[in-house]
Amino acid sequence: MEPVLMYRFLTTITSSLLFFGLVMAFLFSGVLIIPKTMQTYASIIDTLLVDWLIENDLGTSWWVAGLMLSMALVAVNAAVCSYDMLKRRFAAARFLQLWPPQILHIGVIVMLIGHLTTAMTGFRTESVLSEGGRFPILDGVSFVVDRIVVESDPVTVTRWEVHGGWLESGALVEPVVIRPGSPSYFRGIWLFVKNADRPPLRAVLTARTDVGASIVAAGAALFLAGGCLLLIARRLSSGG
Amino acid sequence: MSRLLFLLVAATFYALALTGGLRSRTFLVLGLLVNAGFVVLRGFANGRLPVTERLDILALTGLLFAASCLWLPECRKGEMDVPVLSLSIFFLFAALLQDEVNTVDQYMKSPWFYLYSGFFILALVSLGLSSCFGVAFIRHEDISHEALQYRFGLYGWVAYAASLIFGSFWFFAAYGTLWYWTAKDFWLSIVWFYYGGLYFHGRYHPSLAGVPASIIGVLGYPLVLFGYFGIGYLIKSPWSQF
Repeated sequence: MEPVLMYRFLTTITSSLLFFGLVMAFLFSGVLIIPKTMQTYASIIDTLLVDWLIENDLGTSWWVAGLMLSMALVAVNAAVCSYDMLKRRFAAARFLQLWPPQILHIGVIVMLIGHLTTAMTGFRTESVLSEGGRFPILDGVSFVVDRIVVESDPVTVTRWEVHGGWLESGALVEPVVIRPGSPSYFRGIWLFVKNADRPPLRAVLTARTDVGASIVAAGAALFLAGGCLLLIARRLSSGG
Repeated sequence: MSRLLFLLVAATFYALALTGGLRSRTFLVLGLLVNAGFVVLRGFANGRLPVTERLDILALTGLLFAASCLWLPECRKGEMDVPVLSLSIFFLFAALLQDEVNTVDQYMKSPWFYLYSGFFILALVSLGLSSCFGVAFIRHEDISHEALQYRFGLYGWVAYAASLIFGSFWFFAAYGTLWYWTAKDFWLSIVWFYYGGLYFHGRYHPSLAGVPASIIGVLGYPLVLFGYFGIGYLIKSPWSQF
């Protein structure tokens, strides 16, 4: 297809509908396939997605690859549409008329880039530790567990915490307390407590790096800002 | 037993409000008081905002649907009260079928979780209202209904997106990943792309503008409901953040 024709096609609503339809078709494939073959896809969580795609044959990974490609098409489509709209109407239109959908598009594209970054980069490791245990993580950084707290009532565990500290080249740098939902962050490494047991007292700690998460967060903020502006714009244009 | 009483009484009042006449508004207000009383008492009994269990989420959703009947002009005029209150009654009966858990997992004690749950409830209500207006537009072709379908659809879609975003942040803080590869997560994404892609963009397509786009919008709500009620039962899915 000629570049000009391709550009014109990408600025049409038809192309958007087509690519969204593709994404939904691949997502729907995943809805049907994953429950039937959960063991096959269990390793996706613990592996970089790009590595998982390389390690698994096309018979297993076709819909994952298709999903990623169709999401890329959506991102390109959104970028071209926004560029075209801004080029045509930048001088004439007011901010609230023109920018909210474009900010939404940019937010979606940034979120997709963030997820792609997560799929291609990052590091993950896990360890089961007792009090006094040391967890070597990455590049001379490790974590030492001083104390594990587990409290429960007759029904459930009510509190668990891991008290410890980050070590750099063996020296204690930062003491921290890690709780469920309250991880610790040090030198680009996130440390989570996944579980804690007793007796004997031990905790499962997961360490990971994920640059993509910050990018997704930035994209999410843009998306929500664009969404709010779009709501305001529509409300103003309909007279309240 | 008390839960059964509260929710059944509220649902009965909402049903009586559909009979019309001068007392319909009285019945609606009584239903709201009973429904709201249930939600508030649940919150006090468990010492937290009642948005962490399915029972509470469904009861609150039913309450918000019924409350919207008080302020929506179209409900007061008798145009929309049947579908909106029917949805309210549906959610209350769905709440009756849920187990009471009454404990909060350690991981749920997070502001991100409350934000996710709160926005999800708003999305359930807004998208439901959008569908109701869409049905009204398809039946009567009153353009004001189409505009309201779009507006509530937009509110609901942005709230839905916010719930996905905050749910992902919560999951990252709890388990170290934004996303889980489960049927539930995928279905929720389908719903997001359906509204954001097919419905909102379809309205601007020459061959879909008007009734066809409205039908697309209306059909989105069964997808939302299937994602909440069907995934995990009809299609297996391990626990995920949603």
